[in-house]
Amino acid sequence: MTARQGIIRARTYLALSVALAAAGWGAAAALATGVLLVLVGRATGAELPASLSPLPALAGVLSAGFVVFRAWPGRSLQRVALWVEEHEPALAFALVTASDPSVQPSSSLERAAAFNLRVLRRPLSRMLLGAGAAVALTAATAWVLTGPDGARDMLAGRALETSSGGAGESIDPLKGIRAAIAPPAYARIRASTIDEPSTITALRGSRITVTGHGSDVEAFLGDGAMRVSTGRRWGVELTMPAQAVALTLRHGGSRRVIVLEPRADAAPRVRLTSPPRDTIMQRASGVIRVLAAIEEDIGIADGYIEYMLSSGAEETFSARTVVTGTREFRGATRGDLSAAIDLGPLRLGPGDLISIRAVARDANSVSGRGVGVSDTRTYRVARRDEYDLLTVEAGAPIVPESTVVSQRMLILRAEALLREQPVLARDSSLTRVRGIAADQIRLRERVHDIIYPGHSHPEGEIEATGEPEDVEEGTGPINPHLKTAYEEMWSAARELQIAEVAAAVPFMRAAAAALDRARLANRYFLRSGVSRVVVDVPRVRLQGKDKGSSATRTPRASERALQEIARDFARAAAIPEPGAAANELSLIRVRALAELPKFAAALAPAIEALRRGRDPGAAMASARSELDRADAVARDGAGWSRW
Amino acid sequence: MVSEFVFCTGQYASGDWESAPLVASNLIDSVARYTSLDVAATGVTVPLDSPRLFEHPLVYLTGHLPFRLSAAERANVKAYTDRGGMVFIDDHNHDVGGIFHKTATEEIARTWSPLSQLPNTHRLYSAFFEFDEGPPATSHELNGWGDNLIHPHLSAVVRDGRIVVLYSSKDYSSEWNYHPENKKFSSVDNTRFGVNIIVYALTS
Amino acid sequence: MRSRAEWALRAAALTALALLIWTVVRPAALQPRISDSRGGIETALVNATRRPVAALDVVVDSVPTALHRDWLAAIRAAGTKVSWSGRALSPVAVATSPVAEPEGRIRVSVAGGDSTEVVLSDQLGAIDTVQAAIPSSRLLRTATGWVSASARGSRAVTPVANPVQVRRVLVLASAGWESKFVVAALEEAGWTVDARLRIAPGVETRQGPDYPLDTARYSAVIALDAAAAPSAGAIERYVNAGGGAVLAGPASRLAGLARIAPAVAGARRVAGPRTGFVLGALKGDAVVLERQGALPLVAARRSGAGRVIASGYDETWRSRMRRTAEAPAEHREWWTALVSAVAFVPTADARASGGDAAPVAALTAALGPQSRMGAGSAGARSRVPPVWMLFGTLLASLLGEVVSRRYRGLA
Repeated sequence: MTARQGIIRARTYLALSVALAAAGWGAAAALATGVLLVLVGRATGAELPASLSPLPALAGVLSAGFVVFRAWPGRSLQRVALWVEEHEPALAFALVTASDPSVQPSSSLERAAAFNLRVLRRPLSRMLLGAGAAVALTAATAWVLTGPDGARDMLAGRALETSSGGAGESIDPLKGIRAAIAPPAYARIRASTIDEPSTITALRGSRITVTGHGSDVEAFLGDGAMRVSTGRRWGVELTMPAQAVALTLRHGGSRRVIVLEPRADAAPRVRLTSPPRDTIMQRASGVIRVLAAIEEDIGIADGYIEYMLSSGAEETFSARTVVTGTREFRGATRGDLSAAIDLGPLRLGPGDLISIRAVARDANSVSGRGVGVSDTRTYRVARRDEYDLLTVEAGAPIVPESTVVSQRMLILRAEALLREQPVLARDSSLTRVRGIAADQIRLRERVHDIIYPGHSHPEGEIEATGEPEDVEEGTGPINPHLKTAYEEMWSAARELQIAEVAAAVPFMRAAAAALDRARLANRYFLRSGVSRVVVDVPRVRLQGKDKGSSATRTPRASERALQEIARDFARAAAIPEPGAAANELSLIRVRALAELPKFAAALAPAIEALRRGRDPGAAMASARSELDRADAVARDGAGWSRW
Repeated sequence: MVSEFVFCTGQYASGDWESAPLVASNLIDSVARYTSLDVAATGVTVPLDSPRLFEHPLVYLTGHLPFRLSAAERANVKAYTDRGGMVFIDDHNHDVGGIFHKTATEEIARTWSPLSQLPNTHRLYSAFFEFDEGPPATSHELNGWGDNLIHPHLSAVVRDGRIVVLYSSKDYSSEWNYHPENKKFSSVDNTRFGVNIIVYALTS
Repeated sequence: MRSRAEWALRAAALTALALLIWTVVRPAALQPRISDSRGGIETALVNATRRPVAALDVVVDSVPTALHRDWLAAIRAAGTKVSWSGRALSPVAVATSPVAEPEGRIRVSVAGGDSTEVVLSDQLGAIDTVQAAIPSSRLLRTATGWVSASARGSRAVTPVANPVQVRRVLVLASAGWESKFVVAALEEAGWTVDARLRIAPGVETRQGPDYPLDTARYSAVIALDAAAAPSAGAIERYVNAGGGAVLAGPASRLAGLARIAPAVAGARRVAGPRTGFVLGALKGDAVVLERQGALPLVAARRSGAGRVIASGYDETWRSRMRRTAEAPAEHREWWTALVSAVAFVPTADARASGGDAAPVAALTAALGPQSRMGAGSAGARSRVPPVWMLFGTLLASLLGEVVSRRYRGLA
């Protein structure tokens, strides 16, 4: 073995030893830091903050780094040779010379530089033994202070878990509670922890682990008992349910209530941006461009465009559904869908219609995929008998464009008058207002003629009071947008007649908007007139051969929840002990989440204040105020009963 | 009379809401024949997204074509039933495999909750006339139209024991879509169940 | 010089002695002043009681407690002229009363004399703040123990009234939207509702057992239209026996109810959230409860031992069907208020006793109105120096004279 080879081998042994020593000293430093935290925790009697938990690991890394810094001579052969020479002075720098690449190797040099690798045994052994002794000492100390579980926790970096514990010490298992929340995988939300939770709010299906120190704890989810794991820390594992529920923890005579408040994964919101409106066509041709925008709170799984082709008449109808434009979104919270529907190949005939919508599904794997759908746009092919009743080109106005333009001109005139009014003479202002009022009335009459063709309207009559005439029965379906426009014009005219221009402008704008809507999409109000039959009620009154019979009615349920919650709230608020009051209020909050959500939201700060030992006065007053104001409970579909 | 019952037919944008135009006058005639309730001589038609819907706490809907609610229609009719309104929907196709039934049941589930079968002992069937065997069969059912089934039950969405949405696959729209003067040609008035629906809505 | 000084000292001593004797002989000349701000009213009252005085001027910055007020009144009754003064106190009063309804809420009423803010609170803590100058009341679900209203220097306290038990209500009407939604509103509010809804001659929808209409079972009867005509006689007897009746819309026109109805629904209609008829033919003892402008829409009167309300509204269901979130609740509240106003309540008057509901008023009642005397007021105040000063003067004068005499020889 040449000198160079010897140095290389020595370097290998040195590297291994330094690495082992660094690891040993690092572990010892981590354990020592953990022991220190345990002693501090016991001395202060307080639960140390979670931010200190990386400390042992940090100490270990720093120590290991220091050991490497001190013990490792460097990678170069000369440095290693120097290190060997330090421990074998007899070499008299021959090894260093031999390691110099600029020096020609010679047999004399090799002889002078020859060394036995056994000389490394002592220094390396000292290094390793020192590290081993440090590890053994700190491990023994941790063992004595915290037992084998604690020592294992410290080695695993969980020093804080044992900082307040210790053999022979009594601790309150209902204090120092921690909740770890792991949302369902599909949600892609990071896990989180809460210390001393009063309420745990999480996505339905989240995995929740509640832990605390000590043992002998019972847990109940609602009324059902739960399995509690034991050890240095007790633990309960559960899944966030669909409805709010109370998690009750008991230890001896003590109790602690935690509210589990589920958050639902909302279905995607889908908006069809193209086509913008329904349309009637004379012939089904061309391409319909379909565009949709999707928004989701957690993540979109996929979406597609769906259209239904319906045809038929009288009593025979058929339909088929086609799906196109399918796209995957892999959990994005926003997305777009697009498709092009060529009407030519569909061969739609008169009376047929195509109903288009966009559908999106989220990735909810817990309660089932939420499905969001857009509004439906309908394209219809007009029948021959409908041609003279409506304009069938797509988007063509059935309200004369001039009507809409006239209304917009009136608005401009009114706004100009408002701007100039402060500097106008009273007479001029009144003259202009009257002019606008008269034009508004004329325009209103034109709209009246469209709505009620053939009916007369009092010419030029200025009516200061009264309401526009109601739907006249027997005249057929009335375009509601035109009717709205007509009513808004009536209100506008009334204000203008008393020179209240500012009050009239909003009505005028509403009328213009209604005219726009009427102009764009009102096909279903203009189909062939519906025949109406006027029943001669007095003639047929009680002429039926059959007689009915008296029946009974069952009472409607009263809103007892509110009264019961109010009564229980008063009782709970009067409890002097804050922890007991917080527990009772938590149980009330669970009930109130479904029935009185505003009161439940107002109650949360009061419970938190009681738990933290702060003054709950203001929060309680706010909760009471909500309760005194609360009345009707609006229930959503989830609360609907069957019978 | 301001407090009279006005029969209301709902208009929706997606299909043929007006497929049974004579149902209104026929049921008005029946209410007048058998009861002393104040009733308007003609019905009204109101868009589902109109605030005027709230003036008529019972609305009748039917059709053959796809039944799809726009966002405005859905919000309006949901608020309407939250206040106490009642919706009666009848499949004019009489076909549980047909497009109206599929789309209507989907829209009902999305807007309220899925339909459940109404037991034939429900108060609806004794609200005025007695129907001991549940909803009366229609001639279309008996003649094998549509899905060729006689549906023994109606379906409903119920809230606090009250029917909020009543759904029929029995095609009462065809059954009742004739001029009321033609009642004299029938030995049994087939609109009596309609009177039950109206009386139930007025008294529940 | 010395002798003049000694004479002066002698005169001072004699004067002081004379004043001391006068103080003992004429105690009514001294006017002790008691100021509550020094927190010594209890001690001062004890002293004024042990040593009767001719007049007592009490300066306060907060209303004395009921005990102290009674004590002052007793001192006044014993012949001492008592007046009270000090910085202005905020008069405030609070009262609670039960609402005749199933939910058992309590009405808390607060009134005051100026524009200060009053803090309303109860055993559980603060409830709200109100402007004292505007009498206001609110309904509370959660009031417990006692209710207090605190303003500047005043604190009125009253116990929470016990809730009352109500009985069933009976609705008589034709089947229709109004009867449907009135029954719904009352049921949702917790009333037990019996109903007779006419559909056809001899045919009605019934709810509840067939009890006779009397106060043993019913707190109120609500008639909505002419369907109540056959029961008019029973309604009149029931009301005169103490029951309550609400006659809405066309029901107020029934001939059989003319004797008890406070008014009759006319032909003129009004629009608004609730549409209905303007009331006419108001009886002399009718009280109008609700108007639209000058037009009466709801009126009430007593008939026999009972109460009757006539309401011109016949389509209140339209207000419930409005598309606002509060519409059903407002409809329920309105109908509950109407029925509560007439409901027969079987228990005795549950007015709460105890507390100190109007402390400033009580102080004024006990001692008379606040006097204009305040700090610095002369009144009957004595100008005699205090006793210690007189005695000190006497002692110093005598000592001075003795010392002067002793040192004569040294001058």
